[in-house]
Amino acid sequence: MKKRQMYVCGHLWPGRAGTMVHTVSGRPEATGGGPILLGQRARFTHLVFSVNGIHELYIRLAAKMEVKKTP
Amino acid sequence: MPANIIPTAAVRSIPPVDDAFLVNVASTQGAMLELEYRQAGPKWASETDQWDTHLISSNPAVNIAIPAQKVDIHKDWEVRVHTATNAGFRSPWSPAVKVAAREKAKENTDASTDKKDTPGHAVLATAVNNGSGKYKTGGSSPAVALSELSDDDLLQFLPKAGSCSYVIIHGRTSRGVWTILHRGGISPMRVGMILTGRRNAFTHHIFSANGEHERYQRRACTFDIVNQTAADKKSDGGASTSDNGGVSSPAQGTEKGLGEAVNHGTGLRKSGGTLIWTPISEVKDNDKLHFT
Repeated sequence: MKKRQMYVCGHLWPGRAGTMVHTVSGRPEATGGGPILLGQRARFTHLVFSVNGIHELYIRLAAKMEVKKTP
Repeated sequence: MPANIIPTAAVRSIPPVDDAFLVNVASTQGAMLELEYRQAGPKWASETDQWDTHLISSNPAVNIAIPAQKVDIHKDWEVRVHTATNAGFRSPWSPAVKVAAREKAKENTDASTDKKDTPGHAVLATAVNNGSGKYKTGGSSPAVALSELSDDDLLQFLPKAGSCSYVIIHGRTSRGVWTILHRGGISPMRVGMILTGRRNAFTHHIFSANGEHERYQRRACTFDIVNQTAADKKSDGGASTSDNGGVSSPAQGTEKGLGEAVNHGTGLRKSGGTLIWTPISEVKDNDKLHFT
């Protein structure tokens, strides 16, 4: 049986409920801050990350993921 | 005390009259009785299985007036009768019972005050629904000033008793108007997510358990509202100063943790995990994000 891979999803939140915009998803690999923001920094207030799930809908694969940033 | 169960057929139900519902119990026992009654049938998981008590003096037949709001006309009644002995008999209106209830309430208050002082728990308030379903007196909806909370604070709702079906968070304006900001499960959530950019419009958050606008459902529950971010800072504060001695090494200074996302593996919506909420101002275009 193929082992399911952990994946990460990133959303941009403009400060209003119900309007999260999907920006990135895939394997947990290092990525730059600029590409994630889609060049629309002014439109959003928060960057939201989830593991093994999207839009607060989670799959049945338990995981814990830490996000760190380096300049 | 042995219970003498009266079959349901012996209980005659009469449809609601005015604001009361009458149950006519034909008891064959003429002694001092303690009668307990409840409605039979399937119950929701959140509903309590408690019996209500009624004391009968020496009258073999009794009419019990029950508020119509407590009655489901589609359900039968279950009644059981105890023989009240003199030793165990206490009228609910006797001073001794009142004093005992007052002392118990005081103990509960002391216990909640002690928990506030426990390190690692920044308990902001405790929301209570006592299950009576009464307007205003059916519970308490604590208010927390928004000046005490920042948008990044993570609020957690820790159930203490009963079944918490949902929590309602109101925003209260400076003129006293309440607006519903959140209605849903008791999963952790950020203050910024609740306020949705309307911080300036409100002065307080008001938390209600199984009810809203001081109208409570007949579903008793109690939960603590905990500022998890403040609790984490409190516990991390001592550790960081002792580890680094106030001086951060260059390697640690360059890397900054943004948070931890969790998936519990239950597959449940919202409550199945936690998200990382990062203000965009913290992420520069040249920053590199690492997921571990």
